[in-house]
Amino acid sequence: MPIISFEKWDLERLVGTSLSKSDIEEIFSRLKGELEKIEGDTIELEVTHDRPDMFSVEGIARVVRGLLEIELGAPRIDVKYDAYDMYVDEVPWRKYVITSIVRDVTLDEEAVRQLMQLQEKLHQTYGRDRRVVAIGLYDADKIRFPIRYTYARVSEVRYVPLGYDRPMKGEEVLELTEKGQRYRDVALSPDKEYVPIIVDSSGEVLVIIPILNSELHKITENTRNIMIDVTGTDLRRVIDVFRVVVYNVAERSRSKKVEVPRLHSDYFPKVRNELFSSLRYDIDEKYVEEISGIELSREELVRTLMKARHDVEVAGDRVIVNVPPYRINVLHKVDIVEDVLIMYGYDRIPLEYPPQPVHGSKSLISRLSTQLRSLLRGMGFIEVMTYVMTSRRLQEICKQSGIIEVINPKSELYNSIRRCVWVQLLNLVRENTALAERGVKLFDIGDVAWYENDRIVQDIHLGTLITGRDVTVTDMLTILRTLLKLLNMEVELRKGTVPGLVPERTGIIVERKRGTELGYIGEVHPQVLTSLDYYNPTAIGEISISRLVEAL
Amino acid sequence: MIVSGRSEDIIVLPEEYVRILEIVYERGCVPVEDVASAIGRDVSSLMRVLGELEFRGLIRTLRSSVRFVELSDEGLNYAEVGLPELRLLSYVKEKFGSDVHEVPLDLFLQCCREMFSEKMCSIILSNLVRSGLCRVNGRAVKFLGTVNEALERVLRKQRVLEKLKNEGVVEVSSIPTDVLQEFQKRRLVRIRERARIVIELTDLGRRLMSEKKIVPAKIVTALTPEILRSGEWSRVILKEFDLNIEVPEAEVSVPHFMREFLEIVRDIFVELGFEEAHGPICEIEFWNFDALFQAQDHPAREVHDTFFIKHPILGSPPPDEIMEKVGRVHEDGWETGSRGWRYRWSPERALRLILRTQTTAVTVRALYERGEGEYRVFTIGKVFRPETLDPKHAMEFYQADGIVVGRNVRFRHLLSILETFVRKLGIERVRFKPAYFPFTCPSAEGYIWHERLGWVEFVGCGVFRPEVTYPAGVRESRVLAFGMGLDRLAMTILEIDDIRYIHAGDVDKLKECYSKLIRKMKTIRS
Repeated sequence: MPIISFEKWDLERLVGTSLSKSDIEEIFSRLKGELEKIEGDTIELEVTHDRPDMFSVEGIARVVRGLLEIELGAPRIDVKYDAYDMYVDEVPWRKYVITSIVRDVTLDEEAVRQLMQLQEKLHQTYGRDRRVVAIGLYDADKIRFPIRYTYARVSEVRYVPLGYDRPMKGEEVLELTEKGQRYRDVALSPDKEYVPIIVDSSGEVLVIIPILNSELHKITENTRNIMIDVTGTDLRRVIDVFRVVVYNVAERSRSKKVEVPRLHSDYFPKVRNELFSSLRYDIDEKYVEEISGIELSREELVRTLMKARHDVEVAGDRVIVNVPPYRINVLHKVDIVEDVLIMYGYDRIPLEYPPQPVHGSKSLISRLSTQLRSLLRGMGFIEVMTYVMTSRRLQEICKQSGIIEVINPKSELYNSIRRCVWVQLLNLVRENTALAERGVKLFDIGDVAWYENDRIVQDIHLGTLITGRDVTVTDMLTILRTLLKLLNMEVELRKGTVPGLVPERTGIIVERKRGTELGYIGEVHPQVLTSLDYYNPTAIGEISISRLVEAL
Repeated sequence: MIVSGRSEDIIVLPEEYVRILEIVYERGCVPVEDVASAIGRDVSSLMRVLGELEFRGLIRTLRSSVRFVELSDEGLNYAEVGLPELRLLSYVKEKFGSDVHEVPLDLFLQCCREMFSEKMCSIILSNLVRSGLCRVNGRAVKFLGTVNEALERVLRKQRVLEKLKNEGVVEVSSIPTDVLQEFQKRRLVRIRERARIVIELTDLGRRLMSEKKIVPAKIVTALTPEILRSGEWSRVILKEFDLNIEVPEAEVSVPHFMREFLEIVRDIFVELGFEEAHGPICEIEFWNFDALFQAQDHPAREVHDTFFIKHPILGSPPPDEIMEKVGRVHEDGWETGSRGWRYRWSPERALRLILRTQTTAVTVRALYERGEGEYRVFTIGKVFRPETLDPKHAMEFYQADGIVVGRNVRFRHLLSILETFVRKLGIERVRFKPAYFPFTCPSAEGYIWHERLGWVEFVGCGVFRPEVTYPAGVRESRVLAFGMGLDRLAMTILEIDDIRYIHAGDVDKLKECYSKLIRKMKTIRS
């Protein structure tokens, strides 16, 4: 989840009150996310993915103002439609663009840093590293309107990219700049010939999307009017991100004036009127209570909603909530209930244990496992817990097949799921030579899985292992016979082969009444042992717990 | 402890007792110290034996008090480095030859100052004069005889010091009176009183010894059935057992601490009315993510956070009807009143096989199976995340998930259930704060207070969103849900600082961790 860094004084400036360190700790313990650190004036806050409006201090301050009841209800912006012309050519690999101008902003170095941070964090998350959505910010006063979103041959683009002091050609921007190298594949058309750009009426290139803005139009402390562009492949997401950016930038504007262009494209007329429209929900105290268990009065409900920065209309018996457009995480009425609870304060929620109409129970698998554990410990077995993940190589050495592998392991030691528990037990004694030399008995109970005919088979197995000088399969047979007899299980041993075991010394354990195979015992094949550099005779047993449960 | 017996008038005693009697019989009146050194014991450990012999009327102990001399700290120091006058005279002898009778005062003092402080010099000189080893005559120091002869006299005193040092305490009578007096004056020694114990045989003792009626017993280290049966046990002495003996540790199969912890957690859930469920570790994305309303392009579904299975790639699909509802919920919210995530949902993607990343996959399956009603389900199982193994992270760990279903259950009940849960684990302070999970709303994270670590997160929880419950056919009931990592919880509660110990094969480590679990037994009130 994104970590947002900002300055305490900037937060105080935006909130409009001074805040002590403990105020800040208190405030953020009541909101989503986690205060990572307060060091001097710098605050780092880990915010949750669902609140992109909190990806910069402007949005954070807006929430805090509500929480502290400094400002209630939805923030207002003053939108002027059809304020300028923007022409949109069809860019098939990045179809959508929306722009807007936020007027009368006051910036300083820190404010500029916050805008950059907002842009970057949105790119990383909602923008999927600029693939799905990318954002650009420009000094609107340097732009000659109207503007055009179009594409151009890489070789024909020429401008001074941000951070450089000379004009560069498109190829150079793609190859020489860090951003160019990183995002060239996102920018380029499928035939690698073209890149999306925005140009103004004087022919100045504002940006190669989504790589680099031009130096000419960059945002500085002196910028008064900011143009925002949001481009992308998914119109819904473009609009969502656009709302967040416009509202957060507008927090720095005195007049809150936002200008929307006459955007000449096929999609724009359909979305123009919903760019800044609010979701409306009918909500009442009963609904809040049914989810939360908190009973609020009408006044409390209205006030907490407004603290959460929603507009509220009370019409007779109805409470209608207008959700501000930047709250793109609101999908359902329940999200409003959560807002109410957060503003009410989780710490204030009275804890009350609900009536318990039901009785609990452990599964048969768990209860049987407990019995097996205590019986095996009583027979001198050491209880271990081995990893379910193990190396494919180990399993192959142990002649296992149908091994389930993962495509993205972090380590070759843990790139597959064990097919049987004994393989892991053998690996454990191999790695703990002290155990091995003394001679030892081990067991483990846990998940196993493999595939057969392209279908996955999963089970819980009991694995047992006896190792040491002169150990034979008889030692294991003694143990398992005793164990199964105590479980009232009549079993017989049938000849059979099990991969990794000596065929002459392998037995399949079959339950007599139904004839189900419960598992097997045997001696590990010398070839397996020596391949693992392990030189103690070893007998193993492997039993399916689910089959054991069936046979009980 | 001591078994001794009589056979007619023969007395059977431990061998050591007999030796003591023999010593006293031979020597008559013997100080206890001498007895001790003769049998190689120290005096204090001998006293118990002597008490026993006296009780039997074989010996008598006579107590008197004796004056002893012992060194003071200063005396001990001089015993080691030499008396100052000894050191001075040795120096003078070295400088002026052993046969000089006198040395000019200024030269003598010069020698003295080279070795000692001014104050010390005058003390030494007055000591020498007082003890008559020299006198100051005008401007010369005249020795009693040659310097060597004076030195001899000092050496005699030094030897007394050394004797005191070596022997520790010495009877007053064994030190020349003049030396003792001087040393006392100079505070080099202290005189102490001490009890002195002398042993002698009683008439009975002497008679029995002379008639050889006291014999040493046979000592056995272990009783045998034969000794018990024959009655010989009454004539033997069982060797005294040394309580401080080092013995090897017994072989023991301790329960695995983590399984015991999981069992405790299970017990608590059962007490709280939860029924246990199990589910597969190889899971389709559908149950791990889609049914939980986690959008298909959610970052948690990427390779950084989820293990994908190489082969087979797809798992068996849930019924079409369920797939369709879940797909619709993602796309436009279906009948839930939600906007949905507004993207094209891919059924293919939902069938991709992964290693489950959360045991919520198991509880949501249970929800689909059981639908509406009043019930509580929990599960404990392994979950998998692409992490590199280190003391704090592992690619697999235990998670517990639970759901509480019912018409009258609320978010605040959820917090209360979780608070009850951790209280049963012995944790006193709990708090909740807002959080975000795609499948719950409202959501919270629960924290427990730990003396050393502060607030430690232990649970994520919330009310399942309608987007999750509607496709499962649950519209009237609310579903409270939670999930918690148990490895971390166990580590926090048991004070274990390396997560890898859970899967270790090191038996000593496992025993150590088991003992940590036992240490918490009082506070874990399960």
